Amino acid sequence: MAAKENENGVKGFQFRKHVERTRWESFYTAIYNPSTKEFLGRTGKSWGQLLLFYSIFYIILAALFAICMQGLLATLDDREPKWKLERSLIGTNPGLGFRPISNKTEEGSLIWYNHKNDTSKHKWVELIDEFLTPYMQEQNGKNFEICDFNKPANASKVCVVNLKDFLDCSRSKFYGYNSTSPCIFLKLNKIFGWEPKYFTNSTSEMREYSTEFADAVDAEPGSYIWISCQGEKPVDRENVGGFNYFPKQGFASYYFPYTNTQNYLSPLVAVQIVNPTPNLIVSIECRAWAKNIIYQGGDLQREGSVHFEILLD
Amino acid sequence: MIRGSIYSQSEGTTRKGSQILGADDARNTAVSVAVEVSAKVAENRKRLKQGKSAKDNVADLKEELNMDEHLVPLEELYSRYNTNVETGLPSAIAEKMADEKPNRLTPQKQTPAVIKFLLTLFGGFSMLLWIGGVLAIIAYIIDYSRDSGAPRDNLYLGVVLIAVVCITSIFSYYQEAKSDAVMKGFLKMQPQRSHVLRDGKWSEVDADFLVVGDIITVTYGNVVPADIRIITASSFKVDNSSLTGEAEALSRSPECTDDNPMETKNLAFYSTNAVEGTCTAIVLRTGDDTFIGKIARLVGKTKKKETPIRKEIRHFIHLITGLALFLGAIFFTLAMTVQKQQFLQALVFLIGIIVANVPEGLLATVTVSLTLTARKMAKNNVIVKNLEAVETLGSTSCICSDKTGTLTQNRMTVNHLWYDLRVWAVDPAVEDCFQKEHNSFKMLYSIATLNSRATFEETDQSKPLSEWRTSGDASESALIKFCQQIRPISDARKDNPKVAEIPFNSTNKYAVTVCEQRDEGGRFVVYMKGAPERVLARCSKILVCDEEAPLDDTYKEHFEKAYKELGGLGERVLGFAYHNLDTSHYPPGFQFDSEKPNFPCEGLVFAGLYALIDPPRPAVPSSVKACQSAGIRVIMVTGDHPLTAKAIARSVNIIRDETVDELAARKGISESQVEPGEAKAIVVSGQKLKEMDEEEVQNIIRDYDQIVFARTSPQQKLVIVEAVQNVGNVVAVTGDGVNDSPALRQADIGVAMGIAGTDVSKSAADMILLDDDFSSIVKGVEEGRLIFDNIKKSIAYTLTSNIPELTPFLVNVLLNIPLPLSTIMILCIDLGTDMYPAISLAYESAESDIMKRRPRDSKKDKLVNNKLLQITYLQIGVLQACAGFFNYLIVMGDHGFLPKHLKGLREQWDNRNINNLRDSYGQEWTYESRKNLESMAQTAFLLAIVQVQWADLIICKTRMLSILHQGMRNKHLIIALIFETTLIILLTYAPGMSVAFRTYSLKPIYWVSALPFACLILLFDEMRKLIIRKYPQGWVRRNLYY
Repeated sequence: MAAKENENGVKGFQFRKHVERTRWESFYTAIYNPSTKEFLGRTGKSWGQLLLFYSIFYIILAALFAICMQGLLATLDDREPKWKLERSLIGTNPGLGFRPISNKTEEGSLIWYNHKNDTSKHKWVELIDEFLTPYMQEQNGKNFEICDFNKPANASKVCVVNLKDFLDCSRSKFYGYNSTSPCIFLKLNKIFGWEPKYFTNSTSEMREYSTEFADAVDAEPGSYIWISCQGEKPVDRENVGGFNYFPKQGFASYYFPYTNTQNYLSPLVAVQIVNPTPNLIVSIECRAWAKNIIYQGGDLQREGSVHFEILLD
Repeated sequence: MIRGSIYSQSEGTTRKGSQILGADDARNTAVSVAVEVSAKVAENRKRLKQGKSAKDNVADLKEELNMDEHLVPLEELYSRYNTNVETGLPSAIAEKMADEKPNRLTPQKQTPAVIKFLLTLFGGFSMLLWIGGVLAIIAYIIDYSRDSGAPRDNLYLGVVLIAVVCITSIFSYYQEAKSDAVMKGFLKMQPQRSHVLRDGKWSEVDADFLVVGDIITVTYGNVVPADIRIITASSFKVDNSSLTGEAEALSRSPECTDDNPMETKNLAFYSTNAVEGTCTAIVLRTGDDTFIGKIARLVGKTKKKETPIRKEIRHFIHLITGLALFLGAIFFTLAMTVQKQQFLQALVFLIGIIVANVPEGLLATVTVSLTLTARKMAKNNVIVKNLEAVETLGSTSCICSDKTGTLTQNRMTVNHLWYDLRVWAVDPAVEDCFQKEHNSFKMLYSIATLNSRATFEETDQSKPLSEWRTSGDASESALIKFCQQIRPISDARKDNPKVAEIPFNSTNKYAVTVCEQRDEGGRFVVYMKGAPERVLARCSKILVCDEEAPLDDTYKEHFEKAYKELGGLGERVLGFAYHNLDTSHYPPGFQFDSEKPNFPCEGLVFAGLYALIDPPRPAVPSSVKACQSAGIRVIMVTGDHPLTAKAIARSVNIIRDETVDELAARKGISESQVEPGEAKAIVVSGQKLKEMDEEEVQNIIRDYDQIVFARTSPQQKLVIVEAVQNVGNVVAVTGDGVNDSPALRQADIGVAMGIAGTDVSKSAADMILLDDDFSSIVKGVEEGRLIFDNIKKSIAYTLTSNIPELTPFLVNVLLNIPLPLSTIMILCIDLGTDMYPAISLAYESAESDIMKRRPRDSKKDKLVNNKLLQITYLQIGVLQACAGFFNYLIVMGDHGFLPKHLKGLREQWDNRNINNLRDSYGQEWTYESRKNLESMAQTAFLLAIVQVQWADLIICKTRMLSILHQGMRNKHLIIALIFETTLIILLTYAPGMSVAFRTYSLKPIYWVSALPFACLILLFDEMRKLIIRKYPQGWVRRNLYY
């Protein structure tokens, strides 16, 4: 091989010739090399062996994992959660929930409707219908029984929740959405084995909160987890005509504790918001009252209470 | 044959090449050397497609060669530079000139710090993390614009990611800057002072302030401060070795002896050493304009090759980045299209996948590992300039070593004696050792002691004799050091005062002294020392066993044989003779005249021979052997004589077999008739090398196992290095001269000598041997190999946890379960718990004798190969993910969310407005309480990862050995395990952590559930390693050994 000379006459050194491949060729041969019959650097046989190894590896791994899972499930009971109440993160302070909630996340907890507009009205009615579906089923027979304070449910029996008791807030009245006084439904979160400690009489705190509420508590015999709603801020309070509670202003004690009994239905309280001022977002806060329900307001880490807004067009 | 034709052809082109550059000197002269080096460098640069500037530099060099300052009469020079030999330059003008153009080399242009920092800030994985961080902030902004109460998690994550990028960049920038600083300190030159004539007065100024036209004096011991032309000189000699590699001191005088500036005697060059005499001279060129300055500048412009480890890491980063982007894109589209997720949610997946894929702490780990090794090497007297060079030495497959000073002690030593017709060894361990009682030896002692101008400049008893400073040339110093051991030379000299002397000169080639023997009643004796054949020619008798026998042909034959034998050993042989003067002719008090010798210099008695050699350093032979058994070829490249080179090469094991010339001599054929491969060893002289082209040089490197290149010029050094590289080697080059610098640069790793090395060579090198000792390189190779293995292990360890980090996001998208691991927790692992363990692997000791292994093949043995990825990602990683999910499912199940219930739950789970999410037992969870549950499940997942990483750390300690063999002796690793555990305990239980990292205290029972998986990992890997050990050729070894 002759030494090359460049324009300066300086001797250029000859380098080993590499097999020149274009980018495309080397890419192509990396995927499939016809001379060695290699696909992505391995022959068919080699791929096969690798595949076999990994099949066996993953099958054994899956089997081991399944055994572990069986072990895990064996430690769990079908009916009772392993950790309950204060041992579980669910705690002993049940959350208070409301319905209807828009299924559009970005609408948050706003209930915005026009009682003259069928579409907007039906949206909320359907949401409540959906929520109440479990309650609409036949509650006769099975393990249902009608309970009262003298006759709490036996073990393996559950108490009836009668939708007819909601009166103004019943299905036939479109849950109030055909009027300017809509209803919302309050429900206490189920916590396995949680037993409320009831206020049988009003307390100074209740009276401080609202004398009207305290009077209502005193007027009602029987053990209830009391419910109270009001405008969140003084401004809101001015823009609400008041609240009606159905069937009672609280959750009756005979529904508790929840022990994952079949067909159990949470007690509900329907709250009718009477004539909130139209075209104004009115914030409302509802609280649940029991000795072992801790209240905390505010946007973050709300406890023992619930918040929503009403906007009437 | 074919070769013959190549010879003639290439010779022709070489000639032509040098002619055009103006150096048509047929000899291997320094100038052609220098020009070729520069041309070579220029050529290199051209190859780097910097064609235009390369041409400029060649033009530059032509100008250099066209200099006429050495040719024109001095007077013309004075007027040209407006100077006066009597008064010098006016100091006002000189100072102004010096201000404008100081006499110093402009330091190489460094990349500005800002750019360096920006490169680290956006290079490597940083870009991915930037993307992740910016996406997270965008996600927060979108979220916030919809709902001002949006949780700040994404904002927080974005800020953390950007902070991580910044901190790791600052860290690696700081590390680099630190090793740069080491170098800067090292290069800080002692300020040179120089005697200069200005305004008619001699004064001493900083050499920096010299300007063209200055009249200066240079005395021995000084460094020539600029390119100068000699005006007057008295036995002025310079050592040009740093410039040309020539070891001998060259005399300099005012006469112009050659048109060639490098050859003429009236020029001396910047940075060479004045070793003898003094001179006055005029400064011709300063600073960057000097010959050295030009080479230094060209060297600076030669692009350094990418280090092997950087190549590996780049490869690895591409792999991981590709994977991250690929997975990210797939799952982003999957989430958007199939799952019909909101853009925001899909974005969060994307960020998670990116963060999980990027081993955030890994590059820092690599840097720390390299730093640790660099520190270890510094203890072995190896200063590492470029951190990555630590590993390069480990990949080295060939070392081109200089001889003088590296392999040898650079100190002439008496090795053999010849008297009484026998060769005697000096080493007392050898059987044929001389006896100081022999009368003939006593005479040799007297001659060596008394016929010598060398003296000890210090007699520091605390230092070994061999390190005492002496005045005089290397041979005389060696002789007096040898004699001093027998009897202090000062005593001998006191008893025998010198009365006359004829110093050594190159025509006579001998030196004579006449001394008075005080204890013999003042008898005079003539002592002669010199080239053996010259001395013998002046003898008529020979001293044999205390008898002066007439020198007949038999004795002469004995002499010839011994002379040849010793010369064949590469030793420098000196002959010694004496003559006891007759007291009747030369009575006590006789006046001897040295100028016109009035004493006999013929008819002497031949006493014997001394044979000297620059002996190899004691540790070198074993070091070379260690290199060879480590599969590293050691090639000697020296400017010394082939015979000497061969002798040293043989004594240090570079040559072990019969060389081509020996084979030829044995068979009685000519060297060219020896077939390549017939002999294993070859000595190639520079002369022969000059006739070869690149291909032939490569053939030599391929065909012969043991190679010595002797009498090479530095230009050839570069050619050799390139040829060795092109054969496919990673080459280490050792060197000390300025002209070695291009070769040092060209090398994959240039190793400069700390003591003998010039500054230019040090700045061109990547590594500096503080003690100039070759065996330090071997240590370096070992450290380099170890760190490569250990970085591999670190990477294996770190990458494994990517799978348990990544799968939560994949499963989250595919099955819509609540997120099993948060992005912040991924960072906790990558930058927290995994960090120290990964670094601790750098301290792991070698599994087997890494010096018995071949060097790694840089094309095949990748740092991160598909087997490593298979084992980490597809095997151990999957096992780890199982452990994580198991823990997660247990926490969820124990609280009421059974596995089958979790599927498809995510959307409701993450909906802040749903406050009564049902579990498998009908319980209803508020957003807050289930988010706490999520935190706890995620913490359990995190804990599981840490626990299986314990096992992973232990399995990553070895690649082949069982942990039972390797043991747990790495105490850093044990501390790392404790550290990791402490950190996870803190993350889980310490107050405040739940806010910062969304962790949640775990019940002790959850510390147990992942342990079976940890055991499984240990068992599985032990099994894999067992099979690998048992079946070294088996499928498992081929496919599952990284």
